[in-house]
Amino acid sequence: MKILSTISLFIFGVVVVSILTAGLVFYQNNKTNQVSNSQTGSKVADTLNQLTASGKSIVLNMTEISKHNSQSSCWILINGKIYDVTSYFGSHPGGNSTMAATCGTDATVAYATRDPYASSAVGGSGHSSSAKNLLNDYYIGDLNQTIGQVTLPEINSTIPSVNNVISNTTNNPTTPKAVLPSVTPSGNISLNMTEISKHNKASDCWFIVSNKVYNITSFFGSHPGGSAVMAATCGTDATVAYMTQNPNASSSAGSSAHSSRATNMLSSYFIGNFNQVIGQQAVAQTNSVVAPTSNNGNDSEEDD
Amino acid sequence: MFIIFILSFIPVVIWALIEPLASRFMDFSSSATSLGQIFGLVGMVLFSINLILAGRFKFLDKYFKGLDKVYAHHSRIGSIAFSMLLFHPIFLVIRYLLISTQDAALFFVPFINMPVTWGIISLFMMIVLLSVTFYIKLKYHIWKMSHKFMLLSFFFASLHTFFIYSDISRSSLLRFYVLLFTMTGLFVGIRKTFFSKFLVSKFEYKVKNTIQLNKDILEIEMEPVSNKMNFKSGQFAFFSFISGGVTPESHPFSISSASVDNNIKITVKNLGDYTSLLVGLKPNDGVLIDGPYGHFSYQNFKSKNQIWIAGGIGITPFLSMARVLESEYNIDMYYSVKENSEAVYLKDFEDISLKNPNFKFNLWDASLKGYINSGLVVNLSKGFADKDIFLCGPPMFMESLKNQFVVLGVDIKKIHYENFSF
Repeated sequence: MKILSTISLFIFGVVVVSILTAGLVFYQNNKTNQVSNSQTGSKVADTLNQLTASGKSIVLNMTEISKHNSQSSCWILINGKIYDVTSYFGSHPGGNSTMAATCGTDATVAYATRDPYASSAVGGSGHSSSAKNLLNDYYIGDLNQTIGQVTLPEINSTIPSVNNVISNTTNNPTTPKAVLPSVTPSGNISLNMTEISKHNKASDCWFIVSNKVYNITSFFGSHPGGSAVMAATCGTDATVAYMTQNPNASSSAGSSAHSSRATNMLSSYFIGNFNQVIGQQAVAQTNSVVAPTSNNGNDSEEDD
Repeated sequence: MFIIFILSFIPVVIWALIEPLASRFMDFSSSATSLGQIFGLVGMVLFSINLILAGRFKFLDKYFKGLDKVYAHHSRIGSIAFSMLLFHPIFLVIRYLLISTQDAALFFVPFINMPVTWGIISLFMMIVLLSVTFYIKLKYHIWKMSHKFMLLSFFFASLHTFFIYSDISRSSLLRFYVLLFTMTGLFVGIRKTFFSKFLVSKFEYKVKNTIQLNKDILEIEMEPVSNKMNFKSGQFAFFSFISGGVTPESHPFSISSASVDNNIKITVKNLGDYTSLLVGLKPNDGVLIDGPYGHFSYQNFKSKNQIWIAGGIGITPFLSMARVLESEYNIDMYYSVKENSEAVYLKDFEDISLKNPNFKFNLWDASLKGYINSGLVVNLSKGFADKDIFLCGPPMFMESLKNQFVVLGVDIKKIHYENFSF
């Protein structure tokens, strides 16, 4: 019996040490990549370029930040750095309202505690390191720094779109076979509840999360929580199920949400917004999306 | 053992009924995850059972026919549970490994997700504490102290079990089943670790006197302060001495006095560890006795013809039994010692065999006659048909004789021994 334990302990040691070492090496490589990239976050890089080109300039002081106090334009200050997180709405695992509460303010404590109403950072549990890496993508500048003027709509162009998805699939030659949904030959479909509820099985599964419609069919078999829990939400509004990791939950209170990593993955299955009218072609494309594991370098940056 | 197997298999059945097995074992990664879940579930139930086994319960002593057998199961089940719990994350990480090495590495990093962190802390403690148990020979009382921290590891494991999103959080039946075991385990563990002084009734005795029987062997006589502990001759108990020079943890000793005596005597050989401290005991030092335990008594077995073989200090339960032996028993007693000067209580045994001709006492001086072996015993005792054989002595001595008797064709059920290596 001692031998059994010894063998198990040995296997455990070898596996854990090798995975941790491999993971650490990978992390170090990634880190140097990131440093060699630009100073500003990738999600707002275009904005920054245009800012410099426009010639106008603004000072990133508290007055300026407080103007961007809504979900349609949301800047936050964390540890002396300013982030434009507008395009991250809908992807925040902790929900939109917690994030919206901090728009236009110093969110340092809120970020450190994951509680927008906390008065001090003591005793709170902070965001994960992967969240911190994601945040870097939304960095615009330091407090009181002067940067070029900007036209707001262009900042907000980073929501994962059907176009992104299509370009993803063309970059990725190892996509599995598509399962085409039954769409009317008219060419266009409306992403309403009637349409979504047709896709209610594992072999053809759409659902809504936070008013966005996803075709999740090709993710079956890869879901860490098992296929059955996911299948239960096909053809429905899965927002609460997604937030609680429980398909039978009635409210999202007091439960644990999906990781930000999962939310990143989810975005690759995005078809369109709820009630949006989209082309049939776009839907067909999303059927062949796989989890973004072997994508280009741009994506692996946010994988940290 | 069978009942433990059934108890640990039930959660697997419940688990299998929650979701169709086809989707559990759909592909490689889901199969690995499912195995990880099974290992976690069964490991946790076994871990709970092990805490209960360590609770030193009288009903377990009876059910397993001796507390030493309970502890033997405890260490066996502990090894199995430990191995399963080690493989639990190994199987679960496979899914992450298929996504990326980095995801897999993050799976082992604590403080990202609290329920996972509790699991990591628990497993880490387990690895440290059980490595100490398996690979480092600590002094008994230091080891015993270290092993108590397994309860803390179990506590973290329970937090992990109930707060992590899993089938346990999804199925109320599974949750109830596992909760029943972990709560019982925690209750038993806490009772034994923190409240044994109040909740476990112990007999209060005080030291009457100590006699040095030879250079290594000390006899300690204790008298009851109020209630006398009733026991069968051949049983043992846990003794803890309240005395300046002796550490307070309890140690098991066979009782060498007769069950009919008012006072209790134990006879201790100085092995250089805790036992060397006992010479410092003084009259009126307090003693707490937890017992009696053990199934090692001639009255428990139906055969009236028995062979008793003692090696060294293993003589103590036999002395207790010989003192109350009824004359309808035919006993061949062999007392094996390295040399004559090591032998104690020779006068007592002579007196008993004079009074009872059915009790035949043989002193076996290994320095003159060589080591005792089963062939010699069978010759001297004229066969072993229908005879129960009792062995008590150093573990190697018992193991070797037991194997020799089995080779000669003795039914293993007729060989009785107690292993004090706990």
